[in-house]
Amino acid sequence: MQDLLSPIFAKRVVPLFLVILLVGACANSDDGQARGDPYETFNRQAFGFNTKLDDVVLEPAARAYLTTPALAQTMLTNFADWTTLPSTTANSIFQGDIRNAGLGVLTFLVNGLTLGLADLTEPQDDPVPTSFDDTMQKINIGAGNYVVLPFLGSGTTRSHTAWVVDAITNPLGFASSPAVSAIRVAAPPARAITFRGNNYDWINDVKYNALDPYARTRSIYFQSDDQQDNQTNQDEESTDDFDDFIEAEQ
Amino acid sequence: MILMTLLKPNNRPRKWRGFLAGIFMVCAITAPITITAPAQAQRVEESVMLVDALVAAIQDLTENHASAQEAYAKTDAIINQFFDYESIARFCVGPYWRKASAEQRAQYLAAFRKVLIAQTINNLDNFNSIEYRHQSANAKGKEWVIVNGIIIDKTATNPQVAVAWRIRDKAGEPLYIFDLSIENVSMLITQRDENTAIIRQNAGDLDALIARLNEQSQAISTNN
Repeated sequence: MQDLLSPIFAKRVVPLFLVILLVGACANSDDGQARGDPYETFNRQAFGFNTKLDDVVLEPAARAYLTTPALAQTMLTNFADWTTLPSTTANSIFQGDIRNAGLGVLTFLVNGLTLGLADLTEPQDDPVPTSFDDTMQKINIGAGNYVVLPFLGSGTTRSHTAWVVDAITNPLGFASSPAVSAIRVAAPPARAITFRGNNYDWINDVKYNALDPYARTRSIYFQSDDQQDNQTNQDEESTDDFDDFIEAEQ
Repeated sequence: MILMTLLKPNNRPRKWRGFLAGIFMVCAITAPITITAPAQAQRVEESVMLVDALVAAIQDLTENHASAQEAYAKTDAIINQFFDYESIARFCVGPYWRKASAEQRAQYLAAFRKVLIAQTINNLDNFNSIEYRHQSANAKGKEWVIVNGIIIDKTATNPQVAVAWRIRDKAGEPLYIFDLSIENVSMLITQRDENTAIIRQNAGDLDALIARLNEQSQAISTNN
């Protein structure tokens, strides 16, 4: 009982349960409906904000990242990936995938010898990255609606909630040493810059060449998300827009 | 001799008639399968060759074009040879095709083609640094063949990318390329979603999309 009243419990676990209840309610409300974009007006505003943020912060940072030697880029990408391992480990445990959790711990400890800058493990020993979004999907919580948030970008009510939960439950957050705090602070910008840099041409193509960058981003997000869902639920037959087109033609 | 006896109508025992009828039915049912399977395999094989021919044509375009006009003419010819352009363009505006007038349709077909050609020419330099390798092919759903391959970056800067070509295999008609998916993201579905979003944002007016397409082809050409 003493443990239940501890500050960590009050600060982290209670909000976590509230968040799960909230996303469960939101996600289940639209089960079975075709994927739409009911918050499009808000989403487009958030997308516009993120595009401006990209103009002044991320794109220049990514350009600078790409001018560094290949080794430096690899090290920064390794570090960004390494900081996600505690979350992968925690969620693997939630999902009952003990092997992946074990690989997560092992990879985190081994690569931790270099602060994650070097990947000392074999590729076949790398854990499969997973998040609380996957955990919620495994227990059949629906994806919910498409939502674009300032700073966070494209997602669904479930994936954005998962982001919050992963931030709260990240084991790095429970350590109080200055070194761990520094890693925790450095991780999000490192992930953002390496992601933007490693997808520089693709993102710029959408940003500068799309007729409607927002609609293109949403379409790519939906298609990628559907693909992941199809891989998870392999028994379900996916609908085919192309067969529908032929039927309409006849 | 026994066979001849059996085949003589007057001598054919009744029970053999039933047996032969059964054999006939089995043949009737299985014949289309035995005839269709090699035909389908041949169409799959032809689809692979079609994709290879397209890749070769793009390679040729990349290496041998003296002027912008020549590049435009060659790209236009590639679209005519390998794609059913009108079906693709129709797919890319979804339900709005049916609502459009004949004049709007003609304007849209012309504007969309200009954008496709301009984008292709704009990306010609990128084709020099990549290589396509075929991996597998199979028939899928109604009237489709999927040809899978990978794109390899010759400079080894970027990881390889999985691609899938969707070929329309309509009975009695030549094969043509309908779509390309890159890492499971369909180019045509993406374009359709983008086009229909613009039309929807403008109260269902196809003219708004036509104007945007014309602006874009102009912008790409100006940048070149």
